[in-house]
Formats: sequence, structure tokens, C-alpha cells
Amino acid sequence: MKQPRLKLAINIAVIICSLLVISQKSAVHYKTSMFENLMIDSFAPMQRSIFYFKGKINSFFRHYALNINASKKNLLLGNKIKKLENKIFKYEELARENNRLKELLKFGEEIKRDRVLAQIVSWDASSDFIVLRVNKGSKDGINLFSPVVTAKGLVGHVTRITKHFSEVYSILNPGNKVDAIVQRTRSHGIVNGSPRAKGKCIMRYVTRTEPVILNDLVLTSGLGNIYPKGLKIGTISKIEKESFGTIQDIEITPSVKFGRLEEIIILSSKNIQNSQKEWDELELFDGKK
Amino acid sequence: MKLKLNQIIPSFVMTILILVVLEILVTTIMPILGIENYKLPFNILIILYIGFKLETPIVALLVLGIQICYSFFSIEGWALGTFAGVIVCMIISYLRDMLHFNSKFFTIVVTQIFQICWFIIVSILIYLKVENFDYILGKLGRFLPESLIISIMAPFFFSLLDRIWKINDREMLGEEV
Repeated sequence: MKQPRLKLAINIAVIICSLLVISQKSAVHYKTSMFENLMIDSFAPMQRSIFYFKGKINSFFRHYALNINASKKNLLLGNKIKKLENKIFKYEELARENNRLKELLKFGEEIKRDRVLAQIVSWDASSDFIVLRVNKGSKDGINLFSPVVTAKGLVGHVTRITKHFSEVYSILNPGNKVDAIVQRTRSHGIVNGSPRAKGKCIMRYVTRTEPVILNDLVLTSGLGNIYPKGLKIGTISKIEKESFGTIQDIEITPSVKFGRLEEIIILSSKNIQNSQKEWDELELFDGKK
Repeated sequence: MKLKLNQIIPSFVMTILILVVLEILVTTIMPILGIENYKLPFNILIILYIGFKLETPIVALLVLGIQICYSFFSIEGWALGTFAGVIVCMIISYLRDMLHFNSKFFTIVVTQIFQICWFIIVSILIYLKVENFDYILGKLGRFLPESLIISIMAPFFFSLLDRIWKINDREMLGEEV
């Protein structure tokens, strides 16, 4: 009988104690005792160490065991990177082209002609950039003999034309004669492509007495009814004076780097069309003769 | 089984150690596995074992000890569980003659029934305290799967605790071993 009473007493004491604590304690917030703090502080590192091992195991699975498809993914990503690099390259090219075009459009604002921007589509394979083909034709308002320029200077003139394409006769062609003047001395001469030096022009018929020097700038004179006045042709790079004769031969390095030419401006005008009609009339007249 | 105090203390310390290890594992491994809202209540299982198998006047103190250890891992504290545990143990003590753990199925069923008792007692106390039925409903949602798992584990867990407490079921049934 002693034990059941003791048991009952302990049970009642524990129940009362529990009820007291339950009634006083807030559901969540309550101050922990020193003993509780000690026990929690002792068990927490054990829990943390399990999380540490979990991290290590996870890392193992994530970085090694579950990386079966890593090489495949790597290949896919490699391909993706290549595609993106190509795209970036295209964008960079577009940005460069954009800059070039902007520069071109700024050029020749003072020239009272329609400016048609064109892109070179081919070079004449048989010569050193003597004839270029561009992607603009009569549909775009281009006429025969329209001068072709870049921001750097004169390229040539349109010599053949279709609806969508034009051929440009460059100043490197020995047959393309441009009336020119030396900017500093105002000395007149005729510039055409050099048959000897590739990529150079020759200025002829400059009298011996003209005091031209190296690096003098040569411009179009405006005579000849094709090229407007004041277009840059190039700079004098060589002067040949014979001990006899009345003229000197001058070699000109064109301002335009023909090797790097991508876009050009065609200076189109109705006057050019009229002059073409005059040519046609003359040819007709010659034929009748 | 009637036990003397010198038999109780080492087994009780061992049981506490098992509880601590299990709580550490439960509070870390279950969240690691993505089960963050559930926590297997091994304290209930141990208290039910004490209630089922130990005949000692200090059952309530053992329950209190278990619950204090449990409170280090739970914000719930020790008082609610102690109250419920002592009441459940008192109920078990009146029904002890009817309870036998000679089959796993019976152990599972009995464990589940007394877990439900535990839940009802705790829910009543919580309702009296917070006067919010939603909280109890939420707790019920967690209790059902948790208690089922605990009940399924009970036969194996009880056999482990039998070894710690050196209790033989046949002895409990009155057979001479």
C-alpha cells in the first residue's frame, strides 16, 4: 500500500508542477534557465557537426557522383559559348560598320549632291582594285559618271550601271583621268592610275617650274564636269624631274586606302544625267558623220 | 516489471543518451532530407515504453526527466509533454493487465492508441492556453504521419529498450523463464 500512495503523490506533484509551468509560460517566448542554456549549448555543436557532414556529403554528390552528364553539358555549353561569341563578333562588326557609316555620312555635307551610301560587293579580280562593284544602281538614283568618294577622299566614278548594281572605275585605273590641282601651289595637272607602281597615281603635265614638294595635298580641280571641286585625291609621294623637258612626273599616294574599302558614297545629281545626254548626243552626232 | 532504484538509474541514463542521439539525428537529418515540418517524437515512444513496461513509483519522475531532455531540442518545452505523459502512464497502469506486447501488430496498435490519447490531452491543454483551434488542426496534420511512423517503429524500438532495461516480455506475461 506504501508504493501506490508514493506513486500517486509523485504523479500528482509532477502534474501540478507541469500545470503550473504550462499556465505561466508563454507558448513560444520564455527565458531559458542556466541549465537549459548549458544543455542547448552542448547539443548545438553536435547538431552543427551533422549539418557540416551533410554539407560535405551533399558537395560530394553534387560535384562528383551526380556529375555523370557534366561532359555532355560541357559540350553543349561550349557550343553555346561559340554561338554567343559569333553573335558578339557580329555585333562588334555592326558597331564598327555603324561608326564607319556615320563618318561617311558626315563627309561632303557641303557638296550639293545626293549622297547614296553603297557597299562594295566585289572587286575586279583581274586588277588591283581598278574596278569595284557596289550594291546600288539606277533604282537608287545613281547615274553614269557619278563621282564616288569616301570620307578619306576620291575613289573614282560610276562607269557601268544596272538597276541594282554599279561598277566604279577607280582613280587607280591608268585610263581614268582626273583634273587636279596641288592645294599649296595651285599647280594644275592630270591624275591617273600609275601603270608602274601598284596602288599609286601619277600626276602629269605639271610644269617643271612649279615648286611642288613631297606631302603636298592634291585635290580635284572641278574641271572635266565629272568630279566636284576640292575632293582629296592624295599626297605627293615622289617627284621626278628630268634634266630635259618642260614637265615633271609626280607620284601620288591616294588618300583612300583601297585595300580597306568597304563602304563608299556615290554623289548623284541630275546635272550628271544631263551631261550623259550631251555625251549621247555627241556620240550620235559622231555616228552620223 | 518491478524495478529497484539501482536498476533504474543506469538504464535510465542509457535511455536518455539514446533519446539525445535520436533527437540530434531527427533535428538534423530530417531537415537535410527536406522534411522540415515533421519531427518524429521519440520522447513519446520512450514514455509509452516506460508506462507500458516499468512498474515503479517514480514513473512520473522518469517522464519528467525524459521531457526535460526533450525540451533541449524543442521549443514546446517539457511541461506539456510531462503532463500528458503522466496522465497516459496513469491510464496505462490501470489497463496494464490487458496490454500484452507479444505480437508486433498489437504493439503497433497499442502505441498508436496511446499516442492518440497523448495528442488529445496535449490538444486540450493547448486549446485552453491559446484558444485557437487552427493551431491544433495544424498539429493534427503533423501528428498523423509522425505517430504512424512511431507506431511502426515501436516493436523494434521496444525490443531495443527491453535490452537496456533488461525486461523480458514472457516474464511480464507471468511465465517462468
